[in-house]
Amino acid sequence: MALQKIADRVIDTDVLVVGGGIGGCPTAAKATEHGLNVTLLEKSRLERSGKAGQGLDEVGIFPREGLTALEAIKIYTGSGSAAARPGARAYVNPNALYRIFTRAMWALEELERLGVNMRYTDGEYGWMPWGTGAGGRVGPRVELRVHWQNVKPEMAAGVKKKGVKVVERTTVVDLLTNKGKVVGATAINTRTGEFIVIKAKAVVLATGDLERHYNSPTPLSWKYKMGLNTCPASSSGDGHAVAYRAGADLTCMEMMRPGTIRDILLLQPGQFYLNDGISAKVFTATGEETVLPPGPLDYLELERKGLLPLYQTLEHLPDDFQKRLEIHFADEAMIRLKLTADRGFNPRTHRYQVTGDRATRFNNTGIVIDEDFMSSVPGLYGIGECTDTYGIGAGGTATAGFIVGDSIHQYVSKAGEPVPDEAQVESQKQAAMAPLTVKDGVEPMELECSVRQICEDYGGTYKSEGRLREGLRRLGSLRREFLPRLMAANPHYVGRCLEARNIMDLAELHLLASLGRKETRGLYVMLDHLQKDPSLDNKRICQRLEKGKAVLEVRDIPEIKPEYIKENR
Amino acid sequence: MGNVPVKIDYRKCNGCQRCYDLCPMDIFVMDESLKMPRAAYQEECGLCGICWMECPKRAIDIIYPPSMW
Amino acid sequence: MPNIMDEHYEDKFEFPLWRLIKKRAEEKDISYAAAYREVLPEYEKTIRYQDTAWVDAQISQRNKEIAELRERESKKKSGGS
Repeated sequence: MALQKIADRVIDTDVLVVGGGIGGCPTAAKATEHGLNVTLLEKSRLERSGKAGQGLDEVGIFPREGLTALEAIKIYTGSGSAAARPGARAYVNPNALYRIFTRAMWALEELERLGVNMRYTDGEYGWMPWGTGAGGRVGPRVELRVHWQNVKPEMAAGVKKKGVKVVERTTVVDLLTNKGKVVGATAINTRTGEFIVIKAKAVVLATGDLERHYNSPTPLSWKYKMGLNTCPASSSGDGHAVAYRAGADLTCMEMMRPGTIRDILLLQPGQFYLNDGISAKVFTATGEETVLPPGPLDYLELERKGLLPLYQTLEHLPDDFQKRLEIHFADEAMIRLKLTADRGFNPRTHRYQVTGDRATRFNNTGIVIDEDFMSSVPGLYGIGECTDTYGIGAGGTATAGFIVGDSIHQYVSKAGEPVPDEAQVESQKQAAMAPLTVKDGVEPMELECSVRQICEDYGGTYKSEGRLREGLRRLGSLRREFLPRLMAANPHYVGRCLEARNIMDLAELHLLASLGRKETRGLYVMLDHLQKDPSLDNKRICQRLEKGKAVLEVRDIPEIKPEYIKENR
Repeated sequence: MGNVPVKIDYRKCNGCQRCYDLCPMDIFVMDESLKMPRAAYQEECGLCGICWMECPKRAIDIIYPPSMW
Repeated sequence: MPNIMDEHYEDKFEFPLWRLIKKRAEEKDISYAAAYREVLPEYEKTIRYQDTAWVDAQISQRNKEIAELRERESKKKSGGS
């Protein structure tokens, strides 16, 4: 077959899972239980990949103790509250969320079966009230505290025991499609340089978030540009990009989430707004206690009054809760114990700056999925942070993974043999390997940082039409001049070039999508359109590629299905 | 060497390769003859600390750069 | 104008848990990750995780303070000029 001539390796599989993180591992493990041949692609190493690589301190939400899935959905999608994680929550697919919430307790059992420790050291489960920025909800204990410093090594061992074919240090290049449905993907091993073709009847994208089109709220060194607050390897939007280029619908790509902490790398907000339920205190620069303002425009108002910066403090936490905080640090990212000691941070006295006016990563934005987690491209599934509905972090993503792993055999049994288009394979190979032949070109980090700077300067928290258009002109110019000159001295840099290309595609889409929302609503601010556009009430904006051009479409936000309301689990 | 995020103390390193195996950004290379790791791609370090916490000899130090201070 | 940060800018401080982890790692010559797993059970025994009534009382107290603060703030907004 000619594929063997184009590729260094051809893999034949039933299900390809792209991304071996907290979502991809459950998906792959579960799918094998239905007799499927499963391949798991991971750009780093399974044991410590993804945002959960350093560890995690909590998993949730598990509707229990009287809290139903429907109630949880209402709380999560925000009905007006200044919830701890503002952003695109209101635009999620409530039916996918319903699936996640109703199967959460089942997922807990599945995680234990996979070999993941879900309990505290005394052998009990660490159930906690639902923590939000507005304080813990006293009542049903639906969040699970976990000592998940070692969740990834445990999961990796479990996955390998199931006979999943794990392909590591291998980054996805693009999806393969034939007659509109997905038939696999191409990939490159970023250590050996092998170009790999994977033929698959179904593909599940579990690639994580997109953050690297903006800088971190913590200022980055001129040289070290990867100090984002979470895993940079799973923040390049690989899944978003390959789905987009394959013609899938994305949504809410204009959305931002203002950062809340200036020193985010040290003091990741995951610990502080949770605090096991006790909210931080907030002070103005003049020492007055206050509450966090609801949105970015309010920060401008505060600055006008001489009240910025705002500071948060944990000095009021009882000793017991101060100890819990230390354990959160150790569970989620132990390095922060050491870095805070170096930097100088005493939670009993420190007041740290909050920055609600600095744009940062997305939330619940990405590939549009239905309640079976299928995208608009047949055979292409998405779970977790690369989709429009990731249902509260690791818990939601793992649950979605188990759901897909458990049901994907139904699609696979009807899918037919995947037949890649050789011309498509060849062109993907050319585009991916080209940087190896370029001399005196541009390094991928430099191009990525230029793209980030454009988003910072021409996008950002406070947008305007003219500035967005100028940003798009500059991005277009960068793309024309430098994308063909991306240079890779070795396969490691080829991986970074693939990421740079994804980041450029998605940054462009982000600015374009922003032009599609000419209004101010919640955390989304357009300075030259300060009013809400009523035609966007209860709508969300979807984006897809059609014949090489981005197409925007306003659509209804999915409504919860009547049968789910009737079921009311 | 100057101020870099990842510093390896070669007096402590036993060449186990754990840092090279686990780094999510793949910033290490193995020196073939010395069988020791080198942080070759410092600019790509995300300061995640996985190498630091997993090293059995505690031979890695992570430095918080001044510009992020 | 006083800035609240002048008092609290930075204290060099090591979390007690971090001190314990370092000590154990050096004593047994193991990784920091392994040392954490060893010291955690003892450290946790001093925390009232399962005392749900007490935890709920702490959370409720803080929520009450926040509610009162929000009320004061909204009175200021509507009452003040």
